[in-house]
Amino acid sequence: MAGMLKRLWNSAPVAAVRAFAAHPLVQRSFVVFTVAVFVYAAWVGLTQAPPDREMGDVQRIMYAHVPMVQMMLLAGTILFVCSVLYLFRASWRTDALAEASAELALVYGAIGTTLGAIWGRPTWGVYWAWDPRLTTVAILLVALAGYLALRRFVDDAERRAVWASVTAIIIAADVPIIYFSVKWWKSLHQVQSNPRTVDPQMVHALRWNITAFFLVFIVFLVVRYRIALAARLREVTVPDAQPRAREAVAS
Amino acid sequence: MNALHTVLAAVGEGRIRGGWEYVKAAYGICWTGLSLYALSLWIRSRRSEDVK
Amino acid sequence: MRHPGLLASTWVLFRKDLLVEWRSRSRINALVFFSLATLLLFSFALGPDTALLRRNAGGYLWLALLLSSVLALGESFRVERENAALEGLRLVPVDARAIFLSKGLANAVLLVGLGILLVPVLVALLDVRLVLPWPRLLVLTVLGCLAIAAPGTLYGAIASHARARDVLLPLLLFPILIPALVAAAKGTALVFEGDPMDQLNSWVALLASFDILYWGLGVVLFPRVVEE
Repeated sequence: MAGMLKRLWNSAPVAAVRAFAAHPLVQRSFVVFTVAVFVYAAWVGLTQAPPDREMGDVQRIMYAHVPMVQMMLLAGTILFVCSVLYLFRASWRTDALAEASAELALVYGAIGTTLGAIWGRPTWGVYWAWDPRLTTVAILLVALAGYLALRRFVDDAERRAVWASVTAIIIAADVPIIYFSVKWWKSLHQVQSNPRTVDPQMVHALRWNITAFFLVFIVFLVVRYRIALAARLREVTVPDAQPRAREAVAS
Repeated sequence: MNALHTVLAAVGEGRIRGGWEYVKAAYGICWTGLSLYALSLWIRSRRSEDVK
Repeated sequence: MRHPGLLASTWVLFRKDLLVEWRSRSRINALVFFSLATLLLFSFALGPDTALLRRNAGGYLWLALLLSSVLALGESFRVERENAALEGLRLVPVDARAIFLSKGLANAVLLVGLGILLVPVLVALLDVRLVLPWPRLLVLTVLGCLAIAAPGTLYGAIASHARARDVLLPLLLFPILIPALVAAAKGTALVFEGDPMDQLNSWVALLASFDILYWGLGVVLFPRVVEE
């Protein structure tokens, strides 16, 4: 399977696309394109989409809050996949991608949760109502901060990569449990309202915003990944040395 | 009667709550946060290239 | 030489860990007084409305246990770091999973002991009564302490080799334990106050699932954590 993917990756058409994407002018244009889409999506969300029947214009916060939290979940998924992958096949690229996605998850999650709280004030009446989804995200943010602290406090690059992978897996395994426990814990008290976006103009605005935030996410991820990979390669004295394969370690 | 008309008009538009201050606060935080992070990434990217 | 099986190794190491703990009883004494002190702190911080204290007694018990566990887990691995005892064990060779199981169980036993000790203190200090029969509280305590011990042992091993280990361990551990804390505290509150809607079994089931998941994960992941 891995061999087949490698052959695909090195095949002529894919290599041509990769060379194209690696060109600095192409990359810079992509960033400009991203900014343009972002501005357009913001305009659609703030002016073109209609106000909600009940929430009024406060509805528009959803066009930023929903994509931010979705990107956070995407980053979290990438983190989990990379962590599992690293334990099977150690690679600095996988480790660098894990570090990048963890940081992005924290940033997107923090901003997204703040937006959720701001939305909550006029709609729930309070900034924080222990909504199960928002609470789970908040707990996840603390866990991610712990993950990033762990990365900072371990000096040996290989151990850091293994321990970080283990930590990410532990966190990921906990997410559904946290969600259910908060849901049960809270269900003893009150019912929450969920925002609905069924109006086609609202769906249109939301789609544009999700696209825009996704493009920004890609730009951030690539940049952060490169920073992480460069740091990793600097740490290792022989640049070509990959972390020792699992099979080679006598256990 | 005039007051009732005003309120009914507002109901139809879904604007009872107003709330643009919240929208402004939310978008302000979102854009500021993302911009600051972009700046941080740019600075670290520069630093990373300089060391090479 | 025939290598001992997993269960045999676990049992031997478990007895060793308990013996080491027993020999340094002063450590256990300090832990006991620490947990008592936290209960007092909660009472002073939130009292003297006795009705309020009584209602929240379940939460205080588990907060005290959680805070004490951080100290216990840190100590548990500090002992190994001195004289490179853990590396010595690995060289015998001992199955890393046996190390995880034995250390985890030893930590859990210590915490259960602490929990049992704290209940009469709660009864005296916060005027709680056991409305439901005490075996249910025992089951909760055992499951809850097992829940703390599994990720605690895993993270304890990691943190003991990192910088700022005293801060890193609780930072890593606490978010993971929130569901267990919720289940244990709510369950304990139901034991103290009565369970008209029969919710206790749901919380026990949640704790049991948490335990199975994290002891399973621990057995799989701990060898990777300690390998060189």
